[in-house]
Amino acid sequence: MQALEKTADTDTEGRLGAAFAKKAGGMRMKAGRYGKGFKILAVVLQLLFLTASVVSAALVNMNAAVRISDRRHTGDHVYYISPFSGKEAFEDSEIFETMLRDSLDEVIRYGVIRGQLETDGVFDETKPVDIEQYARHFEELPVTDTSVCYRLGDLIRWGQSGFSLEDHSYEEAEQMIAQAHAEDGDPLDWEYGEEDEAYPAGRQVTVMDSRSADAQAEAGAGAPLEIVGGPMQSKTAQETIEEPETAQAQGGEASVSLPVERYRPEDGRSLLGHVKDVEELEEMVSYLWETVRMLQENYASYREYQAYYDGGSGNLRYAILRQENGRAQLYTNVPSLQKNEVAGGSVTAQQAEPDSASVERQAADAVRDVQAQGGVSAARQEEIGRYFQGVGKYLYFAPDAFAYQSNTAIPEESVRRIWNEYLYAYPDQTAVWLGVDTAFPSNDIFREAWESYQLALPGYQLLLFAGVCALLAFLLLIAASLMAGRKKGSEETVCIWFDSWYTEISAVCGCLVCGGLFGATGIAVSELMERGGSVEEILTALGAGVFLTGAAFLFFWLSLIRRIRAKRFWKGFLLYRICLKGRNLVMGFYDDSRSAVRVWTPYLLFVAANLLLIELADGGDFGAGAALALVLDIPVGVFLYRNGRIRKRILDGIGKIRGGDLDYQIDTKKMHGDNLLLAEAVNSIGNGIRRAVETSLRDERMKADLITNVSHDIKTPLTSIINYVDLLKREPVENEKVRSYLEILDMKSQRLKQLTEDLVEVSRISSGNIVLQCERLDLVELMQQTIGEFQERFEKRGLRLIVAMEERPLFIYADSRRIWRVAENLFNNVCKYALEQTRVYVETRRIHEENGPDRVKLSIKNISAQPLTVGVEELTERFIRGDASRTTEGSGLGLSIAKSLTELQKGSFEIVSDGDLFKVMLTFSLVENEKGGDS
Amino acid sequence: MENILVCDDDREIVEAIEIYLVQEGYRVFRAYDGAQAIQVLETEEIHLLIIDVMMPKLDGIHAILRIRESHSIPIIILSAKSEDADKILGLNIGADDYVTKPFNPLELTARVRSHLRRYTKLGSIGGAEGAEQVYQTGGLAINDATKEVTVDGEAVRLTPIEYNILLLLVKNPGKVFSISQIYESIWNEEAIGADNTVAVHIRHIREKIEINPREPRYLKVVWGVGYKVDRR
Repeated sequence: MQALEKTADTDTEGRLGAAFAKKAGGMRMKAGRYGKGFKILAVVLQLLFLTASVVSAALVNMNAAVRISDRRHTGDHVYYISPFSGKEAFEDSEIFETMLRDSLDEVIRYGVIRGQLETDGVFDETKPVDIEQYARHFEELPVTDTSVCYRLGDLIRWGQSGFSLEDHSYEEAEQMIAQAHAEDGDPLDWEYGEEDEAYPAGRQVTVMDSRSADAQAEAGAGAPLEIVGGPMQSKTAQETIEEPETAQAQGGEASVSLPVERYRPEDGRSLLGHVKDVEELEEMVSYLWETVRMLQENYASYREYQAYYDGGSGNLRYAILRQENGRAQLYTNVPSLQKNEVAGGSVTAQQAEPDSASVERQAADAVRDVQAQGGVSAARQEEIGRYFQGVGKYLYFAPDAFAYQSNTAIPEESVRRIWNEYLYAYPDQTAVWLGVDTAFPSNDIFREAWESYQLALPGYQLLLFAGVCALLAFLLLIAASLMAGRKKGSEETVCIWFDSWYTEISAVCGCLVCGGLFGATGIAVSELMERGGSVEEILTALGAGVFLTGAAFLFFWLSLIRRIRAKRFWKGFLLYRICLKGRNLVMGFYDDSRSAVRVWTPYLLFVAANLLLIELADGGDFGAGAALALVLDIPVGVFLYRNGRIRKRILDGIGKIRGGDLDYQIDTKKMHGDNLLLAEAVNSIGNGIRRAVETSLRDERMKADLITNVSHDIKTPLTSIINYVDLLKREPVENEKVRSYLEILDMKSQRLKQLTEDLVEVSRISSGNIVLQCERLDLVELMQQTIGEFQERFEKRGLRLIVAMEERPLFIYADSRRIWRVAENLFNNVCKYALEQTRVYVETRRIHEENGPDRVKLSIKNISAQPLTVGVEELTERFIRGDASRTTEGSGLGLSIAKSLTELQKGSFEIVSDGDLFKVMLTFSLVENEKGGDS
Repeated sequence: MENILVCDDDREIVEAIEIYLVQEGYRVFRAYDGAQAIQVLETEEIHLLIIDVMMPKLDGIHAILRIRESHSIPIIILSAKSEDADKILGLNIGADDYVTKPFNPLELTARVRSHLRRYTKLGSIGGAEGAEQVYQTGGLAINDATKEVTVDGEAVRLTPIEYNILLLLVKNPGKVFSISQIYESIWNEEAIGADNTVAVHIRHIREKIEINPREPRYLKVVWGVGYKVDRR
C-alpha cells in the first residue's frame, strides 16, 4: 500500500503524456492536463482492476471442477470442467460421459460377478466352485484331471477368516495324503475322470478373470477419474492372505506348508484325499488360495454393486440380457421389466430377493425358454430397448450382433474396449442397456455431479468479468503511462528521487522487487492450496500478492516512462556516464594538446596495438589476434571516416560562402580539435563578410536616399534661380556686361540642373534601386533611331557618321528606355568630345561563340578633340571626364551611367583608347530571331 | 480670360509662374498649400490648376483627390520629384500632366495653353466634324481631306513625307512601326540597310507637334523597336 501511494504521488506530478501530445500533432491539448486526484484514481483503479481480474480468473479456475464424494468414502473425485466447453447441460458434458462410462464398466463387471455368485439370480451359497478351473480360467491350459469343488459360501467365509498354515515334512505330507485316501476308502490309483461326472448337471460353474480387476486398476490410475472398484479390494485381500509358497520356501527344502482345512470340499472329503501326491497337493493349495482371494474380492464388489445399483435409489438403470444354451437371463434394476418378465415367463428375472420356491418354478420355465427362444427374446429385447429410449440418456450395446445405439457422445469403440475386458465371462448373445434418468430424481452421484455442475456454470460470467477487468486495467495502465511525469502547468517532465538512480541499478531493483513479490505470491498460494486452505484464504493471498506486485511493477514502469520522457533513459545508464567521462577526458586531452602530439600519440598507439596483436598472433592462434586487431582498428576507421566527413562539411561550407550564401554556417556539432577551429574560423569569416556586405549595402542605399532627398531640396531653389534668370533675360538690359553675366548664370544653372538629375540617376543605379522591364529589342533599329535623333547635331559639328550594320535585325534582351539612355549618353559623348570635321564609326556585328549563344557587338569610334589625360578605366568612374578642366557642358557622369546601365542589362562595356582614337564597345547576348522580321 | 490657380509652398516660384502666365494673358490666383487651393476653388471660377506635391498642411496628392470629387478642370502637377513612380501616381489620381522642377517656363506655358484650349474650346467641338476623314488622338487631329494637321486646334505645317508618316501612325494607333516598315509603306520600295531618313523625319515631326520633343505626348519612340502613336 505504501508503495502504491508513492507511485500515485509521483505520478501525479505530471501532465499528459508526450505520446498523446504528439498524436495531437504537436498541439498541446487543454483536456490533456490532469490533476493529482485523477492520477491517483487512475493508478488505484488500475491496481484494483488488475487484482479483480486475476482473482476472478483464479476463482473461475477453482470452480471449474465438480467434486463428488465417492460412495465408498475413499476421498473426493474431482471432475474438471473446461469453461470453454460451451456445453450447457450436464448430461451433455464430458463429466457425465465419463461417469456413464465408469458405470458401464461396473455394470458389466457386476453382471460377471452375478454370474459367478448367483444361481438363477439368487446368491447361492451352496454353489460348487472348481478351484482349479476358477483360478486358472484365464490360462488356456487343459484342466488337470483332478477336480476339487468347494462350496461358494465356504470359500468366501474362508477368505474372510483367513488361512492358517501348518508346516509338514514331505514324508508327513505323503503320509497324510495316503491316510486321507484310506479314510475315504479311495485308493490312490483312483480314476479322476469319474470325478467330473459327480458334478450335478445344470449347475453353472463360472469363473472370473482376475485380470479384469487389475486392468481396471491400471486404467483407473492414469485416468483423471478414479474408478471405484476392484483395486482397493484386491489390495486388502493380498494383505490378509499370505502366499503359501513363500512360507514353504522359508521352511526349508523338505517342508510343505498346508492350510488347516477349515472347510472341506463339497463332497466332504479332505482336500488331501483328492490329490495323488504332494506336488499335486501344493498345486491345489495354490489354486485354492487364488480362488479364495478372488472370490473374496468379487464378493465385496458384488455386495457393493448390489447395494448401489439394485438398491432402487439410483438414477442409473441397467439391463443385461444374456442368452446361453437356449436360456435367456436378464439382469436389471428396472422393476417394471422384472415384473413383465415374470408374467411373460420367457426370460428368467433375477433380483436379490430370497425366493425359496424359485428353483421349481424356474425348472418349469426352462422348458418354455427353450421353445420360445429367438422370437420371444427378440420381442423382449425390443421392449427393453423401448424402455431405455424413454429414460433420458441411454446406451445400448449388443457386441455379438454388432449393434450399438446411444444418445450420448460415447463412441462404440470405447464401449467395446470395456466390453473386451469381460468378453470371456459372457455368452455369445448378450445385450447391455444403460440409462440415466436425466431428471435426477434420486440422490446419487449423478445428482450430486449435476448439482455441482449447475453451480460451476456461472464461471462463464465470472470469466467475462475477469476479461473486462483485465482490459480496463490495461487501458488504465496506458492512461497512467501517458500521464506519467506530466504536471499541470509545467512543460517539464517531473521526476522523483528514484528516477535519478542509474538505469541499470533501477532495472535490477525493479526485477528483484517485482520478481520477489511475484515469487512470494506464487509460493504462498501454492502452499495454501497444498495445505487445503479455504477458497477465501487462497483468493485473499492471491489478491494481496497481485496487488502488491502490480503496485511495484507500476512504480518501476512509470519511472521508466518518466525517464524516457525526460530523455534521461540512456543518459541514466552508468555505463553511458562512464563512457562519456572517458570520451571527454580523451577529447579534452586531444583538444588541448599540440598538433604534433595530437597526431603522433594516436598514431603510435595504433601502430603499437597492431604490432602487439600481430606479435601475439605469431605466437599462437593467428586468426584470433588478427580478428582482435581488426576489431580494434574499427574505431580508428570510424574516426578517420568521421574526420573526412567533417572535412567535407567544412569544404562544403566554404564553397557555399564563396558562392554567395553568406548566411551559411557550418554546423560545428561533434567537431573537435583542428576541425573545430577551422570550422569556426570559416564561420567567422563568413559572418565578417556578411556584415561587411550588409553594411556596404545599407550605406549605399542610405547614400542613394540621401542624394535623392538632397537633389529634391536643391531642385526647388534651383527652379527659382532658373526661372528668375530667365525673367531677367527677358527684361530689357542695355548693359552688355550684365547680359553676359546673365548668360553665364543661365548656363551654369542649366548645368546644375543636369548635374542633379544625373546624380539621382547614378545613385539609383548603383544602389540597385531600379526596376528593369526587359524585352526583345533590335539593336540595329535602336542605332538607326539614335542616329536619327543625333544626325543634325553631328552635322552641326561637322562629324561624318560611317555606319556599318551588315546584318539586321540583331535582337538583344534589354529595357527599351534604359538602352536608349546608354545610346544617348554615348552619342552625346561623341558630340561633345569628338574632334570637329572627323569621322565617327558606328558598327554592329554578330560574334559567333564556340560555346553559348552568339553575341552582338556595338562599337563607336571617334577621334578625341582633346588628348585623353586620364586612364581608360577612370573614364567610367563617376565625375571623371576626358578633360580635366571640366569646362564643357556635362556632368561627367555620362559614361559612368552608360556603363552601369549596360552591366545591369547583362551587357559588357569596354573603352579602348589608342592615341586620340576613342572607342567604346558594348556586347550583349544575342536573342535568336524566332519570328523572323518582327512586325 | 481664363483663371489659373497656382499652388506651391515656395512663394517665389508661384510669383515667377504668375509673371509668365500673366504675360500670356491669364488671370492667376495663388495658394500656398492644398487647403488654400481647395478654398480658392470653392470661391472662384478656376479653369486650370498648377499644383505642387510636397506642401505643408495638405499635400498635392490629397488635395487633387479632394478636388477631383467636384471638379473636372485640367490639373498640372509641378514637382521636384522626378521618379517614374511619382509621375505614375500623380497621373493616376487624376492629374492631366506632370512637369518636373526645374521647369522650362516656355514648356509650362505651352502645356497650360494646350490644356486650356482643349478644356474650354475643343471639349465640345471634338470629333463633331471629323466624321469623314478626320483622325484624332488627344489634341492631335489630322484631316485627310484637307491635309490639315492641328495640335490643340493650332495648325502645324508638315512636309508631305512627314504628313504621310504621321498619318500612317495615327491611322493605326497603338501599333508600333519599325523604321523599315514605315519606309516600305511610305516609299513603296524595300528598305536598304542603314537608312536613317525615317528616324530623322520622325524627329522633325516630333519637333513640330510636341511641346517637348524629348518627352513626346503623341508620337512616341519605342527604342530598339520602332515608333507609335498612342490610342487615346
